[in-house]
Amino acid sequence: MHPGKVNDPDSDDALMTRFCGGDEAAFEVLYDRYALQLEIFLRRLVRDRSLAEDLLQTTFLSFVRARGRYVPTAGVRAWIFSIAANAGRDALRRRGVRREEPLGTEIDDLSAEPPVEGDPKVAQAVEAALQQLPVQQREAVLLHQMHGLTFPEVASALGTTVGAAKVRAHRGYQRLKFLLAPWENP
Amino acid sequence: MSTDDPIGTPSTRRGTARPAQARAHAAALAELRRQPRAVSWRRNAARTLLLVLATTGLVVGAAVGSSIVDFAWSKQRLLSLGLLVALQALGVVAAIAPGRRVLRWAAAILAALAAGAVVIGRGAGPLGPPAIPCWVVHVAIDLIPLSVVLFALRRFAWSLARSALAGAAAAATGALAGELSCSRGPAHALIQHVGAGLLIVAACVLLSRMRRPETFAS
Repeated sequence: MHPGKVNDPDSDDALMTRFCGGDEAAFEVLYDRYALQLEIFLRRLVRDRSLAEDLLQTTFLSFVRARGRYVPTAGVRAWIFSIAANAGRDALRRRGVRREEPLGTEIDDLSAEPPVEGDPKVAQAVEAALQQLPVQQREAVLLHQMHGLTFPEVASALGTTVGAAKVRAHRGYQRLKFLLAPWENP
Repeated sequence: MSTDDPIGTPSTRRGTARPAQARAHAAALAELRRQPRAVSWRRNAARTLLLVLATTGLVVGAAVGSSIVDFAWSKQRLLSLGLLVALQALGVVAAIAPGRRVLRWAAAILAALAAGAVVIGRGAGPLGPPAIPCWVVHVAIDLIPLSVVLFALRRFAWSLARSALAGAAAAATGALAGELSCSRGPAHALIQHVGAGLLIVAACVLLSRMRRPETFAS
C-alpha cells in the first residue's frame, strides 16, 4: 500500500509526482492513505485531541505548500510523518509540557485498526506508559512500532541518523518494559 | 472518489464521522487549488541568493562610491573575499535545499574557513578605535540580508543547522564590507567582525525559532 513499486502508478512516489503537478486525484489518494494514521500519531504525540486536529490540518497544509521540496529519498510516508512530527513538537514547545493532558479513552474512537491488540486493560496500560515517555522516545516508538516505519524512515522523519533513531526507540522500549513490568508479572 | 466538489461535500470516509479530517482535507484542497503547480526549492534558493548577492553588490558599490575602499589593501584580501562570497552562495543553498547533510557540513566548514581567513589574513593595522565601531556597521549592513534569509526560512520547520547557515550567509555581507574598508589587526577582526557575524547568526537562529513557520516541512 505505501511506497509501492517504482513503476506502480499508485505508488507514493508516482502519486507525489502527479500531485506536484497539481493533480487533485493523486492528492486524494495520498490523503486517504495517510490522514487517519497521522491523526492517530498526532493525538498520541501531543495528548490533546483538539490540538491534534488542528495539527492534522497544519500537516496537510504544509504537505501541499512544501511539495516542491519533496525529494524521494526516504519516501512520502517518512516525509509526511516528519511534517507531522515537526508540527507536533513545535506545538508542544509553544504550549509547554505542563498543559499536556492524559488521553484517557480518546484514542479508542480513532483506531480503525486497534494499535494495541488484546486485553483492553493492557492496551490502556500501554497507552498510559507511552504517554510517560519523553517526546523524542515517544516519537520514535510511535513511528516504528505503531505506524510500522522502518528505521531509515524513522530517521528521516525525525531529521536524525538511523543510529540515533534506533537509540531513541531502544531507550523508549526499555522504559516501556520497565513501566509495564507489573503487567508482565501480575 | 468524486472530485467534483470535495470541499462542499466531503466524502463519507472523512465526512461527519471525522470532522477534523474533513476540515483538514478541505483546507488542503483549497490550498492546492490556490497554487496547483509546486514551486521548486531551487527557484526559492535562486531568488534568495540573488537578493543576498544584490545586497552585497549594493554595499560594495556604495563602499567604492564613497571612496572608503583601499584597493591596495583589498588585493591582499582576495582569499577572504572569495571565501565570503562562496559562503553566501553555499550558505543560502545549504539552508534551503531539502536534506543535503553533506552540503550543510561543507557550508559549516566554509564558514569556519572564511572566519579564519578574515582574522589570520590581517597584518598589523592602524591603532586606535575607528570613528564608528566596525561591529555596528557590520550589523547594520547585515540587517537587509538577514531579513531576506528570515523571509526564506518562514517556509521551513525550524532547524538549528538551517538557521545558522542562513545567518552565516547573511553575515558574510557585512564581513565583505569590513574586508574592503577596514585594515585593522587580527584582534580587531576577531572581536568586531567575526563577533558581529556570530551576533547575526545568533539573531537568525533566535528569530527563526520564535516565529511560527508557514510550513512544517524540513
